[in-house]
Amino acid sequence: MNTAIGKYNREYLSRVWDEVSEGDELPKLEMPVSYRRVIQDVAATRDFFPGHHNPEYAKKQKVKDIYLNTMFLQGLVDRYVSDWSGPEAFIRKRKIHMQVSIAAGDTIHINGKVTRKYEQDNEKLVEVDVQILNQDDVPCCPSSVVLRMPT
Amino acid sequence: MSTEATGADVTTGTFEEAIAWIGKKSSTKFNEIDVNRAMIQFYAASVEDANPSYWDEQYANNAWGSIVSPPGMLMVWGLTTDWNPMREEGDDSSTFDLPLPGTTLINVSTESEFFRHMKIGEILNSENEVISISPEKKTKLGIGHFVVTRTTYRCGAGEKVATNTNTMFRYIPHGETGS
Repeated sequence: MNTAIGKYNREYLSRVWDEVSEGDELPKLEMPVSYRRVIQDVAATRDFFPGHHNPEYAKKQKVKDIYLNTMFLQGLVDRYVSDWSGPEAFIRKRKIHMQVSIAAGDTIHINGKVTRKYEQDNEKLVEVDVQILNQDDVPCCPSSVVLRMPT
Repeated sequence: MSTEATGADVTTGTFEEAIAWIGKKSSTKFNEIDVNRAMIQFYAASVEDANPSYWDEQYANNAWGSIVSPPGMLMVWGLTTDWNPMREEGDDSSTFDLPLPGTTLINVSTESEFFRHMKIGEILNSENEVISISPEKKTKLGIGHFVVTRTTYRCGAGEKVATNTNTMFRYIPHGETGS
């Protein structure tokens, strides 16, 4: 682990490449999705596509209620991986596949696993598979992230 | 449903019209909004991201030279204000303008690659290209076409910061007749 010091003498730990092995599992994360959360997403991303704020429109789209947008899910995947890696890792690539919309009233369950550890163009890289499921255990958003890690 | 009531502004047309867009590069679009700390923190708060690169100036200055943008905000910086008196006509073309029968859309997948952090104060620009449009497909949501676009993001000096390859589904929901 690398240590860095910030404001108020806070200590930030970052995992280094040597400490990671293929097969390592990331701690699970749960997040309830309230109306407030979906609207926070709209406020934070300024994405006024109506499916994200108008339940009637979402239902006409065949989604049960207003739902989280792409940028929220990207941020959530990044946050999930960064919680584990620490702040020194840099997200080089991220792929998300939105199979089932996550709407207000759902609860998100996330798990992740290191699937590959490799070096390329002098970068120490780790690939993490991230699964986002809902409360019914339905996979909603399979994702993967390639991190450049410190040494 | 009228645009008035829903706020969705999707241009419809035929598959043949849309095909003509493949391979065409958009003009370079300059973002209206600079990478800024306030929006970074609203976004980080929405996903509860405690990464000090977004919150702790002392840490971020040492590590990266400034507070940096979460990578997930790449597309956020490119969105426009709902109203802007300085905007010129034709400035706000987007993939919503792609003429297809689908009256609505949903994003399916996004693949992003980042070359460096986006720093506070930067104004990014982007260039967009339609890569492919699928033949008509039927899904649980409705009938429509999958549209793949690629966007390249650069900083003011022209350095490539990130690329995004996006797949969206432009569709007519089941039970609705097309316009």
